[in-house]
Amino acid sequence: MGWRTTYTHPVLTDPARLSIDDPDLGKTLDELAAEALDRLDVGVVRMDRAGRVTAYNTAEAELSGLSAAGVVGQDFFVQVAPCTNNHLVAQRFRDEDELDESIDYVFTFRMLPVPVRLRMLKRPDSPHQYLVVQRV
Amino acid sequence: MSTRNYEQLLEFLYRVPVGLVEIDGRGEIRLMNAYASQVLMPVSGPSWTQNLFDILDAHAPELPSSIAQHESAFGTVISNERIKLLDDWYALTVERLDEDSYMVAFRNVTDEVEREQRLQSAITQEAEQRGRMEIAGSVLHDIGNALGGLSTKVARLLAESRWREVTELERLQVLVEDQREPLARALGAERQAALSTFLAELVASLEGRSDEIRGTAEEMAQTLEHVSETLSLQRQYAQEWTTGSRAPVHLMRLIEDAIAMQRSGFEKRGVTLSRSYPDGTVLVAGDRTKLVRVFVNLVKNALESFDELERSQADPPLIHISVECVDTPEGRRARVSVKDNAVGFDVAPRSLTEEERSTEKAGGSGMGLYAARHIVDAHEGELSLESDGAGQGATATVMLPVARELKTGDGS
Repeated sequence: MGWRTTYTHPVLTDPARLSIDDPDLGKTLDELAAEALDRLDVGVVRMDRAGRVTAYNTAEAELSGLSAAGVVGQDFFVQVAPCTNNHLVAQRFRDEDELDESIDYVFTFRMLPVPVRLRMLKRPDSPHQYLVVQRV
Repeated sequence: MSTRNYEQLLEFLYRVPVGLVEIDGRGEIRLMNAYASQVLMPVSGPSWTQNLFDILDAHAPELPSSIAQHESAFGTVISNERIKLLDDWYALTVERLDEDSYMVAFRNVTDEVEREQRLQSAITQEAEQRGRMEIAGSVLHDIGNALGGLSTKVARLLAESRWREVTELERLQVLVEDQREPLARALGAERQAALSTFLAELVASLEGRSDEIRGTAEEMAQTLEHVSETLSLQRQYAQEWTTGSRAPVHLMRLIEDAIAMQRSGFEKRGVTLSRSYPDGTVLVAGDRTKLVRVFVNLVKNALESFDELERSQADPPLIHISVECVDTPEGRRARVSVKDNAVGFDVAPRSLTEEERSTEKAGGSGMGLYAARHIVDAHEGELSLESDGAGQGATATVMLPVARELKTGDGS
């Protein structure tokens, strides 16, 4: 038997270390596999650049009451979270090639209005875009 | 409820395309769906509160008082009231669920509102047009009355067989002739002869003037007749507009009316008109007043094109109007052609496709052609202009859907 070395992303040894305000959040998320996203405390929706959900982490699933299995492959702004389908959120993703902005918003998790902070992330060199959600 | 069922219910609620909000009597939001958040977030802006009254303060200011004044413990408080949120219109309904719960529902009705606005503006335009036609009708009536008076005076002028002054002068002439000798003695022979000559010339000159004036009066009477005829046709069209008559239109009668309205144009230019019509009657569906404008425009256009001809190069000026019914892939069509042998053109007049007054003619009826094309388009027809080139004359052709054809002897 030989030695096997495994690399663990520093964030995953302590998920709480990843903050919604992390300046490199977009880059870090790009490096994480879908299963790794599940270990984060903040809700993360990973989409392709057309807005189709490619990963929906556990934190986000618990907030919304929807399972990742039911959501992956759907148009996030139209089918999963129509509450974001306006010029404040969805339109920003549609119009802009590069986006990194945080706003206060109200989600309707299980029909309850829940104030949240949203960070909208989109980088020209990434195949993904993200909506990161944190309850306030 | 199983997890899957619960999830399905949530998905369903997230995707309801109507805003649903449950509030208490003070407007505090208890529950809301995703659509409500989608609409209300941009309205409230960054200062989101959990109070619907605050969010809608500028858009539905009467909401709190409507709720406060609702006495029954349940039932409809507001039903489909329209409010504008940012750029869109919504129908707002509020139901009281129990003592301290209200369900607020709103759906986007922007399309409906815009449709109603378009309809309203069409109704207003129609009413305005009707009003204009009423005014036009009464102006035409007044002009008709004034012309009536003028016609009477002209007729009186014509009825007067001979000027009284001429007859009196002739009598004087006879008297002077009879008294030639005493006058020659009194005035001298030379002066007496001069007086006779003077009187004879005066009579001849007055008779000439009288004939001239009679000729002018005859021309005036003719012109007045044309004008009266045109006025009465125009009045008839204005009246039909006002009463909203929309019966199928007798095509050849319409063309004849258009020709009658331009009769003085034919006479002024000495243009010979020929026609070939099919036997029987051709009916087209449409607006008589608008369609007659089309034919007036086309005939006028053909007439005006003779004004550009050099007098020397003119063949006898001719306009030929023909009507025939033909089968096309779109169905049975009436083809009306107005053909002239005037200047023609190398390049189709831009006025047919462009709104600007771009005709090169001195008379300038390009606007007329543009309007004509639009009327024909609105009747699902086609208007085209053709010419074999400058100096080769031109043909304007209108294709209109045939509503009915009645052969002679059909009895209707």
